[in-house]
Amino acid sequence: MSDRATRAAQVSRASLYSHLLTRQTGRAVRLGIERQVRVCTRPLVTILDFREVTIIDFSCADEVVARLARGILDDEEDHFLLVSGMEEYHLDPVQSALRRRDVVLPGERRNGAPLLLGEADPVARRAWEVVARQAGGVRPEPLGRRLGVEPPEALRLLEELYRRRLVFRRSDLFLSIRAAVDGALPGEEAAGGGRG
Amino acid sequence: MSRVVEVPQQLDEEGFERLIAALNEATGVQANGDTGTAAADRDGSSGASGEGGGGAGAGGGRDGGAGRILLDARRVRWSSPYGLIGLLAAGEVARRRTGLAPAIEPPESAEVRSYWRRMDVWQNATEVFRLPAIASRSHRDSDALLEITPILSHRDVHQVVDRVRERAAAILERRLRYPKPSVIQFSVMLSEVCQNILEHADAAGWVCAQTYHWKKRLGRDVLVLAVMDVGQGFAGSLASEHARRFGDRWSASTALEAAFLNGESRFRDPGRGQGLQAIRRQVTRWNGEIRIRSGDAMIARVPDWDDIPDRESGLPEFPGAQILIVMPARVGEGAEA
Repeated sequence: MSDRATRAAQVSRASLYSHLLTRQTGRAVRLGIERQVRVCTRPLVTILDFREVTIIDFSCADEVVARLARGILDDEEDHFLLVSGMEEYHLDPVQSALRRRDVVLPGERRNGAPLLLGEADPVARRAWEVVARQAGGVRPEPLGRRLGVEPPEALRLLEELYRRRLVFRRSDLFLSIRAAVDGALPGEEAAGGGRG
Repeated sequence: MSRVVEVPQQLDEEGFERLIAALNEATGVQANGDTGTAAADRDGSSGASGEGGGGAGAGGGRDGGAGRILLDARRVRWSSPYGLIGLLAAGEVARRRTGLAPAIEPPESAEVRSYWRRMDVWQNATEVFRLPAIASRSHRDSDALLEITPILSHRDVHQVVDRVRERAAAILERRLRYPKPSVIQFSVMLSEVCQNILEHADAAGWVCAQTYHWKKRLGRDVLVLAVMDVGQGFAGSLASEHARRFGDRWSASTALEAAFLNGESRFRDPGRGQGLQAIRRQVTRWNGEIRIRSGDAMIARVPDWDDIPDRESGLPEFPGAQILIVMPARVGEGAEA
């Protein structure tokens, strides 16, 4: 992935309808989002905002989240996704849809708590959670200590998360998509201070 | 000349099977369904358009000279949502097979007639049977969760879900003692079963739901949701993608297994086919029952409180798909539903 992704990204927020029912509706919403993001510069973070969604069925979840994500991940570089505002009743349809298309996405609950959506192996999931909960980002060595693995293995895990667009990267500092969206990219001093 | 098909006194799942068998006999359908009738059942391509001349058309397998079918419902004493929309489905199939809109004798029982009126049987029957048009009625006095509703478009699905949400909340939480999230889960399930009609049947269908007290069968209240169509059925829908793999074993039974157990779909898209799986998972969590009948086969998730077989084949042939979901009331704090 290009180094452009580590610099400031444009943010596109898609606030979803309250009733996301039927595949037909889902398709219309997905196409609308795709049109919206087509005109944005890259790197780009598209936030799928679920705060107003009171109901979503499996067919709609497949179109609006899984199929949208699959298209972005397969066809684009420098385009990240974040699913925000999740409530418990969103999870079953969204998780099911993501599993069917073999997609993993960074998410967060309505209260901001990070949540990795889709199926990921336990070690990768743990590594992601460490990054997601660290506002200032994480470097390989501190992650390695947290996970009980050597730094090269920690770096490999972080690079894999970055390749899958589950985290942002700035040199050897890896941070959550939310942190990148909120502009929490640390300045040069912080990056050089070895925090993580 | 009309052929009379008697509607069973108990118009439920078993009653529907007897109705189908009687209809098949009256319209000359073989036990294994002959090709000509299967074509007519599937798409009405043999020219059934309500009224018209005698019976036999180029498609063959139709009830050539026997004329109109009369469904005699005078002796009906009890009907479930499944039985009610089964009656409409049977009427539609009779219409396709004979080329003539069937007639219907209403129930003699005042109580049953009143229930049929409240469930909008007659509003929907005018589309199928030879009946005068009936004005739509207010549902303010209805105690039904969902009166019979045709599903013709995705807009119908939205409207159905919107319409039942308040009633579903009252019934699920207060009467059946389900937790609050179940209202959304039920609405999602309703959306998915109705979409099955639009996505797979290539034909119209109906949905209906009611709550009962199953005194003998379970000793508890239950919510019964029924969805039916008379389209191409699971075997027809999945054939183009899956039949070759099964070879001679391809049948309504294998198609139901593929869809219900393995999440297979008529579409190659990996995102398809999850609706039915999701419904099965949710019904299992509620310790409910789901049965799907299509063609000559049935498959079910059977809870511990019932003893029906989980699979059947060799049933009377009938087009489309017929789905029954039963959600029992929960008992005790944190106990199984």
